[in-house]
Amino acid sequence: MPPMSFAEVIGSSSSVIHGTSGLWSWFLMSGLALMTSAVILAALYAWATLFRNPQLLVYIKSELYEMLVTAALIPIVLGMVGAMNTLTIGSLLPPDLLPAGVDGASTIYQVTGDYYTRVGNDLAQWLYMDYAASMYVDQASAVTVYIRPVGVGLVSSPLAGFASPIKQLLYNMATALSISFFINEAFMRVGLFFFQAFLQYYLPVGIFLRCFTPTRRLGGTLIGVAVAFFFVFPSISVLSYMIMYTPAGGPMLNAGAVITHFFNDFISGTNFRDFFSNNFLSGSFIDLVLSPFNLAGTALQNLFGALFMTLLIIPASAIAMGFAVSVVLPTINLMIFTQAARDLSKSFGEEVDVSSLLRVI
Amino acid sequence: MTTPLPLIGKSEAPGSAGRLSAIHLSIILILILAASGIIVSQSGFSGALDTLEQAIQSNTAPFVDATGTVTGTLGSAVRPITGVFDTFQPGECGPDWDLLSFTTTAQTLTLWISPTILIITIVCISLGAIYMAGQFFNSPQLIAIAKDEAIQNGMTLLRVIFIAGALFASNIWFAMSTNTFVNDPVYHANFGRTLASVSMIDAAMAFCRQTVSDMVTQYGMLLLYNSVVHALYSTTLLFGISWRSMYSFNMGPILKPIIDVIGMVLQMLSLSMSEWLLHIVTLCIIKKWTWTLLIPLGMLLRAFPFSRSAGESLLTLTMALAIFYPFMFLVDYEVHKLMKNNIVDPKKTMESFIRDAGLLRIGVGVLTVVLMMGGVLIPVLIGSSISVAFELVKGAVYYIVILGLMLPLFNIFITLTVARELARFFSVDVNFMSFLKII
Repeated sequence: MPPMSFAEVIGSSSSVIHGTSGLWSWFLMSGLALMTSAVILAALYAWATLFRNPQLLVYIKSELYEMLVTAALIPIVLGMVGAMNTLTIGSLLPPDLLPAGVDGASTIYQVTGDYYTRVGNDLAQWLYMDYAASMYVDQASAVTVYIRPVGVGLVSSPLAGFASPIKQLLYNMATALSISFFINEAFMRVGLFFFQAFLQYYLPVGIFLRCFTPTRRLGGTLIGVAVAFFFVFPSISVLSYMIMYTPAGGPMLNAGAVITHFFNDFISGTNFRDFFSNNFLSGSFIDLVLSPFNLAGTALQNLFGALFMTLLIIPASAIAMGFAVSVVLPTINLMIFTQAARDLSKSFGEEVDVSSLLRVI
Repeated sequence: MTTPLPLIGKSEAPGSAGRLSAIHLSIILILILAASGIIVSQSGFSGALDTLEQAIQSNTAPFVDATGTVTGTLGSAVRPITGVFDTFQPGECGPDWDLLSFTTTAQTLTLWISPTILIITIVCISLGAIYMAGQFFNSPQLIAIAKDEAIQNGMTLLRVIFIAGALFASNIWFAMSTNTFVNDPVYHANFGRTLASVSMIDAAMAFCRQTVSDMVTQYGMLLLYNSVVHALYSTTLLFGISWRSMYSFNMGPILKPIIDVIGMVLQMLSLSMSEWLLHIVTLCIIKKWTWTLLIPLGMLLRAFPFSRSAGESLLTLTMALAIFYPFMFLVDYEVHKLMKNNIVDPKKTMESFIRDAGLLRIGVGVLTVVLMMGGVLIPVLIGSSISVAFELVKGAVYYIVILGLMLPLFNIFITLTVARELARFFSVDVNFMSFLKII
């Protein structure tokens, strides 16, 4: 079976969340676990009363309280996940801050998926343009001039000195974009994994385990991590989307427009066409014969104009933007997420040292 | 390499007039070439330098001054594209986004004040409900929880007031400290406003833009130099009076180490440039979203016991990012003002190389002829090239090592250390240093 998309996993019609065969199918199992726990506690209570063990009685009362809390938690957690699945971004953000092109009626989960997909698409598009530009620059670096009238002359590659460093810059751009694409894709895949696995297995199992007295703490931990993923992860992803794609000139939107504009111009040949027509086609045949060296010099001279700035700034911008969207923001997001996950897991069960896990990652 | 082959045409008559005429013809053609080179290729490399200077100047000057930009209005469409630096022009985080500075807009205020007031209202109503429930059920536990949470929310408010006060004070201090620097490109040139309205984070962004501009200049000059040297390096000269009788030699094997060093320096310089562009984006995000997003989000997270430490860490990080991160850039700028006196101006270095060295002034055509005719001049050119290379590389190394590596590392380290210490003061354990490792 092919991997499911965000929309398929957590769409408004997701059978996992809303259907009786999905998350709610564990409701019955959880009820059974609660009943089993109640029977165990009743037996222990009888034992404690029979043998007049006040310590055991205190423990049983505490566990009974936890069991009641768990019973309350089941509909609350499941209901909140269902509610979050229908929460729209329009009800969370003011209209001015909605990311460009995003419908206010889209759910938070859908927008989360859209964000990672959109960033991935943008990075892939830049990568494609980088590849096309690299071909042109590589051609320029390989241009070799043969001038040997009556046996005297030279063989030279006048553009190699210009094009080789730019080639390296484009190579760096490809590396940076690839890394950014990889990190972005990793976030998306982790999100998908958590939504699929936690919705269908870990959260219901966590609820079930929390209902069962001996495994209460483990179950609570699982619930805590799941809640962090269902509520904190999409929220911070949506906020990142808002930051990077604000209609008033979000960095990714801005950079995307400029990069696309200049690279398309470059790839479509406008720059090169102007360059060659200005340098090689405008002169007369006599000029061409008499001043071959001059033409090479003029061509070289004119390279250091708008073409140079385009070839220098656009790759550098793409590298910076790639790291902004896939390193700087995710780092802040990870910090918020790990703190929330640690606190939530501690509140529901046991503390998970998420930050050490992060270090391993 | 010499290839002794029969001469063209009159080879059967050694020493005859035909052989002399072939030599004469070659010399005449060479002279014609040289003359045409002198006439038409005066603009050769010096023209390239001029073009480069113009391109850099016309692109970077408005970028550094942040003038000529279309200021992004909230909710408006994407701005029109006017140049390559549009990706990082400050319109999107210009004066519209100033808060606790001297200029502001009601729209920005509503963007962060509305959600914050909404959050405070929700929290207050919840606390009131808990308190009333405690009274109704006669539960001292619930009443204590309500009181404790009320105190915590009061603490949140105090923290936000503290951040606002610190930010306001830092901007006042900055304005007072820099009011005499009228001609300073960083302290003065910010969004075309009067000096009194300049905030610390704007100046930090201006310094980043200036650094990018300097790096572009360094890169451009090095690239031009690389083009000149690489042209020599890759050239094979062919000398002879016919296709079948000539010798050839390569001019630049000795230049290979220089080519390698310059290639490496160019690569690292481009990465440093990307890094400083990233600083601009980061500062812009900080300026734009501190009050609109980060502080309200911190307040919201801190309002609930489950996410209190996340909110606390976000508030401390926000304070460090909003105050100490831009402040460190201003420290960097002061350091840079002292240090930059130790490096030569790359434009002047290239001008002296191209215009004053003598050989390149006369253009590519004549240069070739001169080199063909007098190999004795090559050492002069190479000697000049090497000294210029070292001067240019020295400047680039400063930008790579000091501005590209050391200072940003200090900035991030100090900012995260401040965040960690603040978090400790507020009894939150956040491992900010692990994030430094990630960065």
